[in-house]
Order: sequence, then structure tokens, then C-alpha cells
Amino acid sequence: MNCKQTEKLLALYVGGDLATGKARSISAHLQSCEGCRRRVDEFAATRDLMRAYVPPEFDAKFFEDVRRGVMSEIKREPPPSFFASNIARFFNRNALAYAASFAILVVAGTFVLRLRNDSTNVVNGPAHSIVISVDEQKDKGAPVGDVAGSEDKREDSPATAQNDLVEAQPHRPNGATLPGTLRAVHPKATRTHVKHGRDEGVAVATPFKEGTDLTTVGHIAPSETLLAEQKAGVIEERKMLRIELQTGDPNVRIIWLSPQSSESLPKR
Amino acid sequence: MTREAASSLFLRTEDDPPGELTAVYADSLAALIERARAGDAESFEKIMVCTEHKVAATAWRFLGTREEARDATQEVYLRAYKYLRSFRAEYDFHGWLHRITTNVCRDMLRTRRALQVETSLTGTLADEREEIDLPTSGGADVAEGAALLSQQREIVRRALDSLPEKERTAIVLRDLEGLSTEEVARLMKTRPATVRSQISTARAKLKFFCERIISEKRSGGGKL
Repeated sequence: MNCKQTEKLLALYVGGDLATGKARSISAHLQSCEGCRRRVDEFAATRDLMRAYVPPEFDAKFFEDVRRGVMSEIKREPPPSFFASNIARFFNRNALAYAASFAILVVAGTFVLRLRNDSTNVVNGPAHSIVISVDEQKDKGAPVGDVAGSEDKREDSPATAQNDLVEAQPHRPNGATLPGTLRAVHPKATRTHVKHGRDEGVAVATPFKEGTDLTTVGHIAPSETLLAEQKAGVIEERKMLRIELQTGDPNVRIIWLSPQSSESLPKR
Repeated sequence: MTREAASSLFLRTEDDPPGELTAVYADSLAALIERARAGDAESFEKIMVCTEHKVAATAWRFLGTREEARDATQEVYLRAYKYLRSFRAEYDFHGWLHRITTNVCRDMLRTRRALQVETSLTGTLADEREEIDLPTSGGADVAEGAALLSQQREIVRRALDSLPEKERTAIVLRDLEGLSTEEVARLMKTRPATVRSQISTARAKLKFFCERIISEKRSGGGKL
């Protein structure tokens, strides 16, 4: 052990606060280092000075004054009741546990409220909407369910809500609005058949019975892109049902694609 | 109750040696505690007689003056009476009382610092210096010894006043009260390694402070 290492530990060495191994190392170093021995002597002198710091002799009057003050205070206040003191002892003992439980409840409650607010915003806020369109896209073979982060590959229509409908302005994924109105649907996980209207394009998802003619439901605007692509012969017979869910976060959109067989399409 | 009366009840006081009376003392103290918990004020006063010397000595080591030691001792026993019902028989009563004393003294030190008592080496500190009654009999040697002791106490008190609260608490409990590092850590609700670090720093600061004071006194021509 060198002088630099020894100097850091001398304060503890003098007070006997070092582990045995380190104390032995320092003792060995001190045998050959006069500088460190001098520092040890200085620490020892301070320690001796501290030992001189003894309390004075307190006379009987000192303690009589203390006792008198305490007893007069005790007699002035009534003794704590059994009930009150036990309650106090109970809460003193468990105060930390109660405080921790309360804090956890508050945090959990805040979290749940926020989750509920986020989900209900889809219904309340105009920023949330579901654009349901039937896109005539190039058939890629297997049905594609392209929901962000989802493994869903259902061939049926995507899950839509049963009852909650909100008027909203339909829009394309790029933010451009489409003519007409669209009924946005609360994206609860309820399976409902979605059919497209005679005019391919924007369709409406509503809780309706099988076979309902959607062309009479609301205003349905044809998709210009779809018509153009159809004319160009790009689109094949097999059509895809595309559902886009725009969340409150403008950077997050859920897109669901499902193939629709041509036999299920109503004839023009 | 006087100390003689307490001794007649086989109650141990500060000066009594441990040993044969310890068992009797422990039983008597436990009985007193139980009666005091039930609301018997006289039993509580007897408990005070048994323990007041140690409490006052600890308070003085923390605070440095008789007046503050007296106030602190009073506050210690008021708190002890208030929380006596939460004290369990299996606990160590002296340790429990010691913990209360430490907390009361730390609170008073914080209050003192908040009032911004100046701890300069000169000036106003002289007014707060504790008056030590020097013996009038015994000759010059005794008087000189008492004066030396008084000066040494003053140096250490100033040195302790210069420390931050946690370092001061650690060094008082370890070096002046003689508690182990683990006991100090339990009282301060921290780890032994932290206590060792605080003690090391405090001892180094005390050494530097005391050496500086002593060299100034010597260069100023004052005796030490």
C-alpha cells in the first residue's frame, strides 16, 4: 500500500473502523513511512481532544427543572385514550403501507382514466375516423390483413362496432377529404359484415342485416382512383376490402385489408 | 425523586456499575414502563430518574450548551411519554430513548442553523460560549486544568458546529457516544458504508479545524 492509498484510510484506521485486512496493510506501511506515521499522530491528537469533550456535571437542580417541566406538561394534557392511541399506533405502524397503497391506486386510476379517454376520443373527436373503402387492388394471392402490429388475417370483414356511429368527414390516408359524408364507427371488436355499395369506393360500415343495399345508406362517393384503375384494366376481378383506422395520433393509422370474392359483390 | 431514593428501589442510575442489579433493574424498569403506559405519571417520573443523566449527556454532546441540553432533555421525555404506548416490551428501552434523543437533537440543530447562528471563530460566538464554573479551591493547578478543559471543549464545540448535520451526527454517535458503525447506521437510517464515509470526512475536517484553531491561539500568544 502506498502513501496515497494510506492517507485516504487513515481517518478510519485511527478510529478502528477498517476491516482487519486493510488495517494490517496500513500498519505494515506505517512501519516504513515516517510521513504517514506523523499524520496518524495528528489524527490521534484530534481523537484525544474529542475525548476531552465530556459533558459537565449537571447538578440536581438541572434535573429537577427538567422533571418539573415534563410532569407539568403531562398533567396539563389528558392521557391519550386507549382507542386513540391504538388507532395512532396502528396507523404509525402501517402508515408507510397505506401511503404506498394509496399512491399505487392513484397512479392506476389515472392510467385507467387515460385509457378510457383515449378510446372514447375515437367516438367524440373528429380527428378519429374510420375510412372504409373497397379498393380494387392487385390481388396478391393470400388475403392480407395489414393491421399495424396485428397478426389478424381474417378473411371476413374486420371488426367494427355495433352501435356507435359518428358523423365525420371521410378522408384519404394522405389527409385529403373525400366528397360526401361518412359514418365513422367506433372500433370496438365486434364482428360485423361489411358490404360495399354498387359504386366502389367509400362504403359505410353499419350494423345492418345481410343483403342491405348500401347504396341507399348515406352518401357514397366513388373513389376516383378506383374508377381510373378499373378503366385501365389494372384491377382484377378479385377485390380487396380496405379499412383504415386513423387514431388520435396523426402518426398512427391502422389499415386492414381483406379480399372480397367477386361473387359476393352486388351487381351493378 | 432523588437518586438515593431511586437506588433504594434497586433502580440503576448512571453511576451504578452493571452486574447483580441488572436483572432486578430490568424487571423494575419493565414494570415501570407498563404502569406508565397505563397512564401512571409517577411511574414515568421514576423512569426519568433512571435515564435522565444519559439523555442529558447525549443532548449536551450534540448541542454544546446547558440550556439547549436541558430543553432537549425535556423534549425527549415529552415525546417518550407521548409515544410510550407504541413502545413494545421486547424493544430495548434505552436504545429507543437514545433514538428519540438523537432525533430531538437533530431537530434542534436544524432549527439553530435555520436561525443562522454564526459560527465564526471570533465575535458573537464568544457570547454563546458555555460558562464553565472554574473551581475556586484546589489551587492553581486545579484551576489551570479546568481552564484547559474549558478551552478544549470550546475548540471541539466550534469544530462540531462547522460540520454538516449528517457528519456531525455520525461523529457524535460514533466517537463521543461510542456506538458501533452498524448501530449508528440504524439510528441514522442509512447504510454502514455511508456512515464510514461520513465519519472519515468528519474526522479529517475536525483534524484540520482543530489544528488551525490551536495554531492561531499559539500564534496569538494564548495559552492552550
